[in-house]
Amino acid sequence: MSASKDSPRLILSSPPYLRTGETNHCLMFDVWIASLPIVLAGLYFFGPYSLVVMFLCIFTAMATEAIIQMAKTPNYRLRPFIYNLLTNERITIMDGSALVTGLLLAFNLPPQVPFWLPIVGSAVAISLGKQIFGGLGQNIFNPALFARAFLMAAWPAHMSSWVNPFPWEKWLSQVSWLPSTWYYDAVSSATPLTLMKQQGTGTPILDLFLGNVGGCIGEVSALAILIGAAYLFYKGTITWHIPVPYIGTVFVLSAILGKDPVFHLFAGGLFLGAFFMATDVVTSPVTKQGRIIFGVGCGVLTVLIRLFGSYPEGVSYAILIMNACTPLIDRYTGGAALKIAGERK
Amino acid sequence: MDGFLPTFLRRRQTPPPSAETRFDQPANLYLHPPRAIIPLQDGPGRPFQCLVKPKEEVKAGQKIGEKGTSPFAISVHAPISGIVREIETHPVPHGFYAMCVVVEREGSEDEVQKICPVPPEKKVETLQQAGIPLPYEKLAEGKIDVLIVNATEFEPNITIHHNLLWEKFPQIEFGLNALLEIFSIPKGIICLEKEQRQLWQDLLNKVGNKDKVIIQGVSRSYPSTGLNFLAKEVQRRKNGVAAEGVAFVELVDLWAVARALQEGFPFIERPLTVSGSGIPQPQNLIVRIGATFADVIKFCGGKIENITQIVMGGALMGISQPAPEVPVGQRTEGIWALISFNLAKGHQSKMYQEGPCVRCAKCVDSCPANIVPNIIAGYARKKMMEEAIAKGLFLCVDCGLCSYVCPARIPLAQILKEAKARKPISGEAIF
Repeated sequence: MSASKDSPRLILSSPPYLRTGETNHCLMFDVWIASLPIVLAGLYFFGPYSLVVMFLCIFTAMATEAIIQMAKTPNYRLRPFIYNLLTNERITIMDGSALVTGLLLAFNLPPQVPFWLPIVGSAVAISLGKQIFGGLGQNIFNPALFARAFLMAAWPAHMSSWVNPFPWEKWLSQVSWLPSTWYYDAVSSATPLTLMKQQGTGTPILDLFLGNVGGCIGEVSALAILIGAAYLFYKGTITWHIPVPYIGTVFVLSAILGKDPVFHLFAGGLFLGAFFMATDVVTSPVTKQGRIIFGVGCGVLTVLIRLFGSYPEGVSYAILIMNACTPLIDRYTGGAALKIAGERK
Repeated sequence: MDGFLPTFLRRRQTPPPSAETRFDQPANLYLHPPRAIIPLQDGPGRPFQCLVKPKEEVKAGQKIGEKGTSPFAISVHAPISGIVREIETHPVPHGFYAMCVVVEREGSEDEVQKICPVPPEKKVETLQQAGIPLPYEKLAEGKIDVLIVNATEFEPNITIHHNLLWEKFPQIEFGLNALLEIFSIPKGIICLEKEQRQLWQDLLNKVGNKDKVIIQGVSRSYPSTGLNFLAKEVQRRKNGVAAEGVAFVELVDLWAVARALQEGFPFIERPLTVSGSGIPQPQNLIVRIGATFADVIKFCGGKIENITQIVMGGALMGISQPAPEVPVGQRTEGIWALISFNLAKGHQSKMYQEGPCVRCAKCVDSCPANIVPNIIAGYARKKMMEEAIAKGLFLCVDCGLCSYVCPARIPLAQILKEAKARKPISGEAIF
């Protein structure tokens, strides 16, 4: 943008002269707003401790990002942190991406994890999952799923201890101002997919849809996830190109392999993965064909891991494997129009 | 949390369809500019032949020049009556300086000299004498199956196609029928957006010969540079050269054809849209060609002293002007005048500065050429021109939608345009 030679007041700039008012922040805060129903569902089904887990995740994620960005800034001047936050261009924790990563990691944790697990998990998600590649927009794996895979490998016992939904009436009758009464000893149980895998028993579909089953904090209630996804679709933050082929593939493939397709749709983290994890913009392909391939690949891998692997749940690993394929998919799609270019030469 | 508020306040992702934002009043007339500037050059090519000298008296509609070579030469007319003040270099709206004839108004007579009557079998020469820039060479070959008129409004601030179809449809239909008859083309298609339902229904009722003139709705608006994609959608051809056997005509030309054949009126008036934050009354105007942008803006109530940016064309593809004294040409669709202020670098909000690409693929979804602007721009910034060309850099039609939707505020359209002006291999600028 520069003033012109003839008339120094007039600005000369390159088109377009119009922009949407949208920024990167909007994409992140849209995900945040869309996850509010899931937060409420987690609170309802797993009690107040799930809020503590979410808070620990978000706080640690933002703190880790701030510390790493301070360390990366050359000649960082020690001033009140708020001042640096507002003026320093390299400290971008307020853009909402760490907030979203922390929240999505909390959705992927069991409700009764020890308090240090979310802290370690978010620190790993931000440092090894995102900042080590160069920050926002550069990471190859979804940071939240990367951290979940790390925690699954490091503390498998903590990461697979499930509990029954929280009995609010019992807890409210026993709770008082004494901190010792706040604790509630939850009844351990298994997720529907584990039950199906180990004992072959199914779960009522209505319980699966509403979320009245054991599982991770964010994945149990398909209803809450669908409400959030509807908001994301309305705002245009996600498109149908990833979730619809993903869910469709799981449905069709599990039906072909002789399992109950509706059960596999609502059990486990398929909806959370399809609408919130696989659609992570940084780690999914950019072309439309590429996104459809990505969704179908996620679906196939999910079904294969669920039915033939040793884990009962395969959504997170399926998405991580397809994240690794994203550069390859981008390389070989998006050339549909190039036929005409060849003819022009 | 500084992004929280815009999450609710942001605008839509695609430019608003012009059918919603059209200006409902009929087009006003602005036929008395105090002076007119007629460029003697269209682009960076050979200048036109000039037939007048300084201090010569000219009448409105008098032929003062000729462009092109002999069989396809097109006349250039004086748009107002007066005296040729000077012939000198002057800024023109396409971003360069050209020799221009400057005519100053003398007296208040407003009689336009008709073009010389030509026998009815030589209608092509009438059109050339009227100065209508049709693709004569392509039309004269006789291989054209279909004539496509792009009446979709690509620019959000220009409503001139809608206005012309709404008000002057009989003349436009006459012009299209005349062209089809002269060049013996079987059919002509006027393309509208599907969202302009009311106009579409109205035209379907009005149109006379429904086998020849077809009103077709297309799924989106197309820029004037992306007409191949329009032909692809209209003809439903998947691969291959879409524009084979197709000729494109501007809607304004059809109006001019009708006026030239019916009244003998040369192409010295054109409708355009004047809008923007610097214009108190945005409106459609019928303007004499050669009137300066400054005069047009003053006529619409704008104050030149306050305006900080003047754009020829629309808000997405227009050309920013160095001075307000540039003339309206035959291809000026609109004027977009802005009052804006720019903050110094340190005072701008952190949020609205350029950020990293998060690969949200909004540019890919909005691109009419189906290329991947963010990846190509990444290659172009690293001077990896071979990879950028392999990804389809030269398919870009400069429509500017990628910059418009980019939430990271990366100037994608600018990067692609710069990259196209560079040498393919070494990445050095040509000029």
